[in-house]
Amino acid sequence: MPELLAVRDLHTQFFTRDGVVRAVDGVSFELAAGETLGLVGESGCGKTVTALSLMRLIPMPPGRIVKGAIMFDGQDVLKMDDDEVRGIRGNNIAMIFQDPMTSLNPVLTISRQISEALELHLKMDRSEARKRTIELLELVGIPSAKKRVDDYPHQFSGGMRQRVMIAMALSCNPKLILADEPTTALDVTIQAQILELLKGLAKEFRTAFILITHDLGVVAGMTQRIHVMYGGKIVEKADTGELFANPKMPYTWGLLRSIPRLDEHRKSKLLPIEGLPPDLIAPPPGCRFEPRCQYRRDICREQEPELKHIPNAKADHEARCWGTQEGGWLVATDWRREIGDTRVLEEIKQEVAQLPAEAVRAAEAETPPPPPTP
Amino acid sequence: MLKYTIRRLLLLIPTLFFVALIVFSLAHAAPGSPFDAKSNENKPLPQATIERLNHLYGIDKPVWEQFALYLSNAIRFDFGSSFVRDRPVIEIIGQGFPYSAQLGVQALLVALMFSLPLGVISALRQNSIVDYASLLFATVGTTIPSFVIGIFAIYIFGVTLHLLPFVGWSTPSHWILPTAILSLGAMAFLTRITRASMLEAIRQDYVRTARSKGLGEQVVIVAHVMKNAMIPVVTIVGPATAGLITGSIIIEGLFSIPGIGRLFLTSIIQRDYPLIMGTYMLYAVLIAVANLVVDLTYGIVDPRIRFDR
Amino acid sequence: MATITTSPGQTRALELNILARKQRSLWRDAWFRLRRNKAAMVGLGVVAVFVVIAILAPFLAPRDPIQQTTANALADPFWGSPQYTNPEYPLGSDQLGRDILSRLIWSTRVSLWVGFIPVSLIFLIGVSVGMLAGYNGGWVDNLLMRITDVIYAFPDLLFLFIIMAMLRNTAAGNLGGGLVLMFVAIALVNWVGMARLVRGQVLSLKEREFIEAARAIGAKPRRIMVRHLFPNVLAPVIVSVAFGIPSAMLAEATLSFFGIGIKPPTPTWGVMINEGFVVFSTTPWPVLLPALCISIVMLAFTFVGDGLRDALDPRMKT
Repeated sequence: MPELLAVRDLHTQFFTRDGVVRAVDGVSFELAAGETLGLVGESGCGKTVTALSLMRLIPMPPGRIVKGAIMFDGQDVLKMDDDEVRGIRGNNIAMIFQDPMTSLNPVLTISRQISEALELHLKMDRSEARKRTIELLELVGIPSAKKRVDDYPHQFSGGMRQRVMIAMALSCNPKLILADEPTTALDVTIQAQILELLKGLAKEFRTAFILITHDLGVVAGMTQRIHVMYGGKIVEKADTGELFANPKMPYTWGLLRSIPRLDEHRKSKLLPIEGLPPDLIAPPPGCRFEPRCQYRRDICREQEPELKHIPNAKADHEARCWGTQEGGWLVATDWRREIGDTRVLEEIKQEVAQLPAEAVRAAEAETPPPPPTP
Repeated sequence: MLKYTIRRLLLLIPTLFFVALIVFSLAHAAPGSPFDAKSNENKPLPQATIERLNHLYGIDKPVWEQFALYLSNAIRFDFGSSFVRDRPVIEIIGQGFPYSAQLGVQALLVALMFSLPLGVISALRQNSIVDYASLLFATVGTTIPSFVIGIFAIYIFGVTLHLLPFVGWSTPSHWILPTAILSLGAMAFLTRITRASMLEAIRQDYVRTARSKGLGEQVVIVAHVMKNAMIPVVTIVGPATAGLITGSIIIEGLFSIPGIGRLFLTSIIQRDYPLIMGTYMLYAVLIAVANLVVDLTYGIVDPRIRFDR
Repeated sequence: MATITTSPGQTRALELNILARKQRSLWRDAWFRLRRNKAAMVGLGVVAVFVVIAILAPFLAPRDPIQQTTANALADPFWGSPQYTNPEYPLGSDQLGRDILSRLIWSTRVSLWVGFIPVSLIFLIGVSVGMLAGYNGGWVDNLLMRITDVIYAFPDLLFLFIIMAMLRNTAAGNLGGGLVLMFVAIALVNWVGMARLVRGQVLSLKEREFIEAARAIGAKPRRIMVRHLFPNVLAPVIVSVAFGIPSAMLAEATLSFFGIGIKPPTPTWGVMINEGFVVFSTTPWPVLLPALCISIVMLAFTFVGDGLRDALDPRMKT
């Protein structure tokens, strides 16, 4: 399959008063046309910033893409001038944002907000665009779309608004859709509907998409491949099936342990990942997950592991972990049984308990790096 | 929306009643007769004349009776006659109103014309020199009282440079200083609000959505940001207009403009009750109507506002 | 194995963060931010000088501010043309031969009183009525809202004009040269704004968990209001007070300028402008100097108010 997107060594940073936040710190991945990819990690790990970087939507200042290349359809997005980038946005790459409540403009009608892109990229006139808008709304399952097309966003429910966002993303038949936590803000019952819709439409339109989420459960049935991100870096890459069957990296284990599963024994407890995400201004010098890792060794603190193929796994399964490399101590570990050094777990728990609540909140609030322009 | 307008107008009636009641009782709480003042001037009026005048104008009756009489006349748009000028209040006000209206409308237009672009530009060029200059202007303009700025302006442009006249309203060149000074406060206030609400709107999620569609920066700013940023600005135009209306009293006093503001000032000093009541009620109605108009506009710019409650 | 203290990077940064934060409560935090604000600090300095001058007026003023010496009328300030200056009147004299410098100095006293007394009244009445109305609701709340509706219908400056003009010749209007009436009038026109502000704050705080928790452990309403609600409404109230002081001073100046404020001969900046206006086109200094004083003090208070607002609630920063 020809490559649609190739991201190489992407570095996106935010220059704040407290220092440089390395939100995305050397991310590389590829995506074929029509392929679907899940980008998974805790909030603040750089997934959203990665997506925004692809469309060059990082607020500048304080943000800046300092290094790397984003090859889309054989062209480097980072080398384009502003007009060329605008020609791609909404036309070739579209984005669905997290919160449908705030992502639609409250003072413009739905029809205006969808038609806008159609008129711009597909050069439709007003009435053509309007007709197409109604079709799109029907396609995403808005009942009596003809009547509702002139409504304002506040007249729609959250789920309906997200459908509108999807219609908007699909409007110009993009080759790639970036869906950033598209269901996080919605009711659980609506979540499944929206995901099904997205999946079905992407298949129908043969659109590649990147689904960004903190919830491994969401991507399970949705994407062909999964990349796990932590602290601005990709820490594990695998096919979806392979990742769930044979996860290699302790952070991925942590994520998996924290999803409730119906097919498992009641007594297997949900285990949260203790500790806080790393400070991206002064990240740990070794492995970024080391401070929270229950399997850590001295080498983890001293040197950063590379993203490497794992010995006893599928060919394209890679992980960034000393323990999973040739001769590493985790190669034979069964993550379901072995939950690591419980003393370390206790240590971290105690330390966290001693932090004043304010500091924990502050640290959590500071880590997600895209701060609104001050 | 029509129903809402009618309801708001009906609500004006009890409000006006209270305004009338309070102003009326205040006016009558003052000791002595309004004709005392008249008699102080050169030759004192004989006591008998004052009593006859009091009787003629009904001031010797109990206050509540006078109030009832005033109200019943007011309903028929008869607001009595001025004690001092011996002419119907309506006529006097009708003569002064055009000056005040012209001053107020000019000032409002000037304020809007300068404040909106200034606020938008300083928000788009945040922390630039233009931004700092307009912030400084906004702070000074909202802080230093208009009569003080007026004094400085009269001194500079009138007394020292002899560029502009500063007494009366006779020629267009007489309009410049009063209009400029009156508009200044509202202008500064609106600049501040415009800048703040532009900055607020510009960082909303929907702006990112608009950019993600590939829209040009100009379209994003005009169609998406400004349309939202104008909502808080419109709500502020109401209080700003009210400020202009009361501010015009000070300006009319300072520049000796024969409008209702100066009528109000002289009437309270001369204790000319009918004229006080008339001018004050007019101001109350004007401010209420200005607020109503702004609330209705608010419903037009913000589709989330509905009046059918 | 490794403990948190030895583990590098994030933990170290976090610790520094905690250390820095532990010692700063909300108020200290606000003070920190205020101190960084240059305009606010300059404003605070000017306000301090103004207060000191007001307190020490009898010692600072070189002459009696009321004493008229017609022979020395309308002297220029020291920078004026030499033939019209008089070394005994460094800032000149007015048309009645009164020393402008001394009158400016004594005026600060009136401004100080007018700035602080009505605002204290507004604070006391506004906060207590607002808290009662917000917390208890019921008839207090209803009454407050009706009063507010009516008072809001009165253009406040006009109302002040009428009160002062009508009552200044009564016995109450003569107390303290009109000062007492001025205090009452300003408080009367402005307390509802404060009450509305506090009421709104209380209404939203009331639903918060910590108030519910206090109620759940059986705290009496009085205690909840004083210990829990009051400290939490304090920040916006302080900002409102900070802006209330200059606006009360401005009201005095405006009223006195139109001759219905403080009664002469008590010197105030407004009175000085009013009296000097007669000779303004020939001798501007008796008007320009008090106008300048008003501008400086107003700006200083606004800078402090803006600084306080930004410091107490960084989210409100514009």
